[in-house]
Amino acid sequence: MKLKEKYNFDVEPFKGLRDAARAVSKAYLDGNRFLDAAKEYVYIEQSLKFCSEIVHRQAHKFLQLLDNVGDMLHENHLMQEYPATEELSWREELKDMDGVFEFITRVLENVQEALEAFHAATDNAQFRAMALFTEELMLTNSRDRTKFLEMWAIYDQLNEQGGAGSPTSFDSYCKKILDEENDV
Amino acid sequence: MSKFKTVSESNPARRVFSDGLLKVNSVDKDKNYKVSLMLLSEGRNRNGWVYENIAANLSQFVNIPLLYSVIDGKVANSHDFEMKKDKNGETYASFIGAESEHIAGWIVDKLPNGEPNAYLATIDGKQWVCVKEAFLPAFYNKEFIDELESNGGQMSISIETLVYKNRVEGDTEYEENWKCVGVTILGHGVAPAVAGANIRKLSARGEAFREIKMRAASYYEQETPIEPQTQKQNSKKGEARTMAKVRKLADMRDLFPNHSVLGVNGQTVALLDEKGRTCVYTFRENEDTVVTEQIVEVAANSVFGEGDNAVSVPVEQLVGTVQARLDATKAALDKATKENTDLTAKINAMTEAEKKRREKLVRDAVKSEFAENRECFKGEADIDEHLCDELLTDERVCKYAEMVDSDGNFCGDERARADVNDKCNKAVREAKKERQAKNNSHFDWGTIVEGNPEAGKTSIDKILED
Repeated sequence: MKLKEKYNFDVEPFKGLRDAARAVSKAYLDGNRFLDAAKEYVYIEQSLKFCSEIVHRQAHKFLQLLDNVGDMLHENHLMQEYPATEELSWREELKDMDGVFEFITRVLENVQEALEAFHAATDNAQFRAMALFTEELMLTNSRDRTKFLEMWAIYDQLNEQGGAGSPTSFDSYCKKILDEENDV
Repeated sequence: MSKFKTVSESNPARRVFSDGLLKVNSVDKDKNYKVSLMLLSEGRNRNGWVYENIAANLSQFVNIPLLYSVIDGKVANSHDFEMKKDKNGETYASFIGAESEHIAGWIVDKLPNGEPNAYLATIDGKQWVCVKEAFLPAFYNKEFIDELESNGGQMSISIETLVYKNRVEGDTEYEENWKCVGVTILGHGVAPAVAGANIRKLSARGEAFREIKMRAASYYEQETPIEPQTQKQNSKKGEARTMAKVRKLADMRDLFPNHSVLGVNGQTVALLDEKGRTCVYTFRENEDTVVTEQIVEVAANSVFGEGDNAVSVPVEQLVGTVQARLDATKAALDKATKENTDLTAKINAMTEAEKKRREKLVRDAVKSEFAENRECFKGEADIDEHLCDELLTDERVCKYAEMVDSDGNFCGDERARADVNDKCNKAVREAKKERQAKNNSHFDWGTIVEGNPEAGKTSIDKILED
């Protein structure tokens, strides 16, 4: 028997992982494209330069995580598949900054759901390593989500305080986040 | 289903399919066609789609247009349109392009008597959505009417729907929320998106349609307004005279290069086109050019015999046999012309290749012969290395390449060699002459130098001394 006859998504026991693996890849690919679109909205429509940079970095981070998923699959000689992403109807999804944060958290929750499903499929003795790695991805995803929830909270607080300077103040806060990330 | 609003989701999916039938019901005195339609059947179509709740959605099939597109004068695959973006960046379907489908007719919601136009009918054991009457003004749909007739009264139609919500089970797509937006007529030979759809004239099986056509042509003739300015009253002399240009049959032939001119009456010219169809063209007063779009196809009959025994035969039938032969001859001529073109191209290619081969022979001959001469006369004459350059110019080489002897054999290279030899021989002779002249006429200015023992001796003296 050849290696690839045994280790591929068309045969058991890997057959059951294909859909879950595709869903994870799709969640990250969607996240990348969707957050890139959100970045454009935040920068062009909302003029929040530093906030848009944070969103942009998260979009790129999704691709890095996608590659990590691929590496995990490669450990079992499984090919990563790349499902298509439809164009985001940003006019419907992104109408204000609250909508942006709601949308980003929804994207991250979508990633979490896909990871959860993949974890469920791999949470057994045979695929333990993949399950553990998936847990790491979940933790990373949770941290990212927390970051955007905090940003949302700050934005709301500044907004509630009112005044024309609120957006600028918020973007200054975003710059601090970026500076801290750069220092790390 | 995506949890996010994407472009394809916010814009409903466009589905094009066809399963139906269109029949001509009548042609009224205004040449308008009324047709009935079989649009959609229950169950899974060959595209693997099932439209749900068709009975509850009969209103979807009325107040929608009949469409078709024309490309190169023929009814084409009619689902042609362009996707454009408006000033807000939103995409939309644009139907203003030259090849886009356009509205040919309309499906009304109610009949004149108030009955609903769309209804359900069981045909061959299947439930169909049918429409009793749709309106097709023939005046605006000449290409379509032509295609319908030339296609034996049967054409394909497609239904265009927008699907807002669906689900997929196995290999079947169930359309849950949808809207029918139009019915498109497909050109002859175009496979419908869903096989089985076609459009058929009521009279396709017999002579009835021919009679309808005759009637339509008759109505057309009656209703075509007489040009009020073709004849004018001369108020001064009080007599009628033709102010319009007099048309002569002979003059007409150049004006209608794609038609045979059969006759002229006043400003109207009777024509026969390349396919054997009878047409007329009516000039405006003093018009000298022909607007080909205004050549109108008409029906014409030939009557054999008289009275009750007279037999009326359509001209198309009369010329049909001849036309068939003509078409066959034309096809044979086209084939022969094509073969001739191909052969000519081959001959040209071969001629060009032969010309190049000869030119190379000539150049090689000149170069080798010249080199041989220079070698041969080395020491005797210093032949200029550019002596034969003029024999190697393109013009000269081309002339050599065309030379043949009395038997038709190529002799250009030999002629070139001869010319090289002539030139070299001439050069050698001249060098020799020059050398001799130099020896004979040389005056040694040393002879007049005092004390020179050689002074006063001629070259002959020197020879004698030797």
